Amino acid sequence: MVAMTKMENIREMKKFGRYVWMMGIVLVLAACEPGPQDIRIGEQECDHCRMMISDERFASQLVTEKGRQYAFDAIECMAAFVDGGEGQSIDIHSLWVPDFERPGEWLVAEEAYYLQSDELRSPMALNFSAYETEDKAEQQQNRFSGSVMDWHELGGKVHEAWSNGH
Amino acid sequence: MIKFKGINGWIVILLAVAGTMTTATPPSVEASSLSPGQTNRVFNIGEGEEYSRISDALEQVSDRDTIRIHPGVYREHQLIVAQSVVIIGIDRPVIDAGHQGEGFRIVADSVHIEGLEIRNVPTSHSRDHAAIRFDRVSGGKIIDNRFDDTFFGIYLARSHGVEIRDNQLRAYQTREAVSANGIHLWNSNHAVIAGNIINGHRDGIYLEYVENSEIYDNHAVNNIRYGLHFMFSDDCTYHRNRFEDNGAGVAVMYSKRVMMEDNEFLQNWGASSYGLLLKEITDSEIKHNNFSGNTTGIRAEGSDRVKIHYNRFQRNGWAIRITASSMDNMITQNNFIDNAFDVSTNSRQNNSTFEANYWDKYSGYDLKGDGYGDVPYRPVRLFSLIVERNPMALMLLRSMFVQILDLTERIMPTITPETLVDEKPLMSEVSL
Repeated sequence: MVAMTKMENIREMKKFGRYVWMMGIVLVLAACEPGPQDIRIGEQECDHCRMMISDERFASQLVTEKGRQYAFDAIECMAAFVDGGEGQSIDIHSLWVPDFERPGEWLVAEEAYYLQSDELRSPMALNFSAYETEDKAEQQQNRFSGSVMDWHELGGKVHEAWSNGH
Repeated sequence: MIKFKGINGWIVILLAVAGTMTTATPPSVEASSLSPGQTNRVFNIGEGEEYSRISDALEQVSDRDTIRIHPGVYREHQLIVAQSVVIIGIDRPVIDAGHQGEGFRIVADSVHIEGLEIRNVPTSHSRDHAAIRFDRVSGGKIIDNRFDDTFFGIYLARSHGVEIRDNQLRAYQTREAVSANGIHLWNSNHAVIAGNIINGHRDGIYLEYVENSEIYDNHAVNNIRYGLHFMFSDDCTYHRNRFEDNGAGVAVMYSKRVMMEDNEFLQNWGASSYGLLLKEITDSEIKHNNFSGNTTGIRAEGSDRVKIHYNRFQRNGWAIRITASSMDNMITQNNFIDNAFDVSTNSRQNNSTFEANYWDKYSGYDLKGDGYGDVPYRPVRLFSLIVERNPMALMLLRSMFVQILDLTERIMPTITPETLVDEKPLMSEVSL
């Protein structure tokens, strides 16, 4: 056994190298935090109301622990989904809302601030738009009127408006 | 007596003053056929006419005047119409908003706009710019106008009894950019939308909180989202419309008592596309429509007491997909021809009635000779349930294995809904 040929040694090394690679890939995959994914505007439908998603200013998404995306045409649809039956039975990793002022940027729903204004009409008519800070939401409120709130208060408003079962 | 004479004198003076005021009106305005209480003046706009700009004339008009716009290109935007006037284009003059702002904003009752072409209304992230916007008015007509590259075409906000007829709206909107609807109604009742052609918008026609309105003879084609879209809009009727090649045909959502008749739902292809989506719809009727070449003909979720009869479903992937959350719907006297799946559902529960339809896949017999097959027909294939749960399985559609599965299930139903069955399948097509 001591007299292992050089050839065999190299073969062993190669095998080991392959394991290292595999381990590496597995580790990289495992380290991937689920995050917001692209929503295909005009193709994907809302997982709550089934409407085709067509307005990126309001399109929101929920990502599960396993990285599966649930997409919504409006912030209010995501709130209703989380509040209602279906959302209760999945492992939610994170909730994302679109930054109204920077198209394509995502905000963590619980940390964002919201303006509810009739001047900025959302697909589901509750008219919420999302902002990074309370300041920014208030600036927008000065332009368009309406009321500013956080995620928790928004949830209450949606529940109240749609309690008849949307 | 002296007192009376004094008053008479005052009246004479007042009349004289009024007389000078009428003569003082601009000579550019020609008075024509004055009737009591009306002014009925005509303002001509164009090269070599009294006014060269529409906005100048709009500042001078009073109720019941007419504005005649002669041929030409008018680079104007944000035209506020604050009097009940008639605006007529002669040989279709062009109003080019030059991507600067909205076109007309109507804030007076019963305004009539006819024969114009409005172009280049800018898209906006935060403003709903429209070529023509009616804002809190009652009555009005928009007839035979063209709209080219406008963000919103016609926008009604809190405006009632407006008629939108024979217009053509053309936009070039894409999924990626902010898009807007061709004809958009919000909080507006008793509207008539007829004979319009809408192409390239987000929704062709969009209704939100609209009641008692009638939509007919329109043609919505190539719009990004829906040809026609109802949100929270009760007691409306749409008939004789054609919905072709839109993201999906029509979505009727959260509405009651909608009448859908004689429409054509054609070629709505795409992974999640459909001719007609019913979402939380109650007490409605779908009659004499043609669903042809759609991924799904009708898709119904949470919809109750909808009567679906005398329709033709031909060459669709799925003719009808109905969830178990839909109750007491009546599906009868329809023709199902050449569909990959006639009916599909998501559960063994079924709370709707399928009766006396014609199914081209029915292979039963009619020994009694009463026109109905003697053995019931089960329109839900076992395979459709598998596809409902695992869409990728669709690639096995034509396989031998699937045919055997379906046959076995038809003989001895174990998974497909037991009560989803047509007890009286028709032996020949319903003549429509």
